[in-house]
Amino acid sequence: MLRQTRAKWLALATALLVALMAAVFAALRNAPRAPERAPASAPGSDAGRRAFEHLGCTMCHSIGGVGNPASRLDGVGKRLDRGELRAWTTGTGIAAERLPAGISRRKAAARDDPQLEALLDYLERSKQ
Amino acid sequence: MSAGRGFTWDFAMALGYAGLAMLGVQFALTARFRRATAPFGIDIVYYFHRYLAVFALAIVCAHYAIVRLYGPAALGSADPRIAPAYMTAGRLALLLFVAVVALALARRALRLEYELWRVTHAFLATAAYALALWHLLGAGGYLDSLWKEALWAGYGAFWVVLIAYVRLVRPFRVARSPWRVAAVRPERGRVWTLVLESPSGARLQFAPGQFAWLSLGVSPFAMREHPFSIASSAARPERIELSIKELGDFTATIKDVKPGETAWLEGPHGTFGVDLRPQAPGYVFVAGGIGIAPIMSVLRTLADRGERRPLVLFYGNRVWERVAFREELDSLARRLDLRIVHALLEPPQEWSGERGYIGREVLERHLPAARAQLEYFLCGPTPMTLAVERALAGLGVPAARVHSEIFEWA
Repeated sequence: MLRQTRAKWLALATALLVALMAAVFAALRNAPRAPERAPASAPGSDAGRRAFEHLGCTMCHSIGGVGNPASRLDGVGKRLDRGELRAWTTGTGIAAERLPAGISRRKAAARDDPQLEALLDYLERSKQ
Repeated sequence: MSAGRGFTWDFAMALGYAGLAMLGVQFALTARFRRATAPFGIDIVYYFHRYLAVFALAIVCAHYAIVRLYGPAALGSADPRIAPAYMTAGRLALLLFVAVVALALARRALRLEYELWRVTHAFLATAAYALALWHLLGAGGYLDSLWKEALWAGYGAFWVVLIAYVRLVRPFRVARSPWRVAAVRPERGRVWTLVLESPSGARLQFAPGQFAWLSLGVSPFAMREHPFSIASSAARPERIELSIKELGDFTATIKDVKPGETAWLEGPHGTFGVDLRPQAPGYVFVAGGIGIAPIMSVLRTLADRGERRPLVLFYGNRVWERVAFREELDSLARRLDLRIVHALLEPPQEWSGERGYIGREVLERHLPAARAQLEYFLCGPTPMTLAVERALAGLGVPAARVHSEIFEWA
């Protein structure tokens, strides 16, 4: 039974080590980091916000506290012009080179969506 | 993508990748590579497989739970008609992993037939792993370069190749050297000894105390193998005997096996036995019921080798009439310096030997004074093994000298 107990502790130690490595990975990627800003309010456009959710942007991004807080797009309209926003939204142009292939593939679905223009309006208006 | 996305998010994602990497290793652990498992003993590898599954599942669940709590928007809709396919794949993989682990842990309670469970287990685990890999490559937020994608795709492909090897290539090799049932010998106590000989003159070189996986009747591709201790002498590798007690679905069919039937053996495996402890001044064996099988192999081998060192065998059974191999043990005692201590739970009236379970008093009465220098080999039901391990520790025997063979694995 000694061997069984040994196997149990070895498995537990492996799992803890793996979890620790995951924590170290996350800490290294995020240090040093500015304190979390409170989510800005969403720019006032219902159609735009619906497009933001409908096109699946919320799975990775948030604006005004709506969506995945891992990647906030609050104030993106201040940093990027409409052309750049279109490129990053649809995975074309400059974004195609810089995005992971898998992400570009997912973004490509937005290219022909009738709500794309509403989404771009919404992003452009997100100034804070 | 060098910028972090917040500790919580990155941690949750890292747990997902790490959990899948751990679950991949599970396939290698049960692939029974003799050279890789020999240093540890395959029993500990199987136990590690079992516990690692539980902890890896916990990590994968944590991956899901953290995302659920921290950024539920990231999960999107759970409706498979709306959700991206890779997200549905991830959800399905999680459910399948939970099912695989739950079925494995509850197999006995559910009275699930071993063979059915084994095929289901392998199939579900492979499907869950494939779905999880799809999820990872599809979500793939961190696979920002071709080589990272290729690395994970390659990692997945490696397990596919491994599974193909274990399920196809090795059975093919095993199938090429078939054994023939030469006899099925009844022993005391509903034990049947399967005597196997190779028509091609093949041999199974093994160390006494080791075991092999037996396939009977069906081909080795059918995943219907069962592990059994080899009971015969290692000095006779051309004639292998497996002594099997009627305990479950498969073992109850051994008595109906006819001479001439084909059998396949995959092995040997295991680290139980005296050959790994050649320096000891003497050996002590403790057997309960059919746990005598690997110890018979050790005793028969030692007799064939002309062993002179002192040996003690404690052998626990319920009733005297069902003590397997008791006549042969008496004749082995004449060839070896072997003392046999029988202990019976329900002894006959005139019985003058030990009664009840093998405990501290029984061991103390019959062990020599220099008992701490001897090597101990235990094989029997788990409660017996645990009790004897405790008793030996109490008698001052170092744990490193006590070796247990576990035959209740799954």
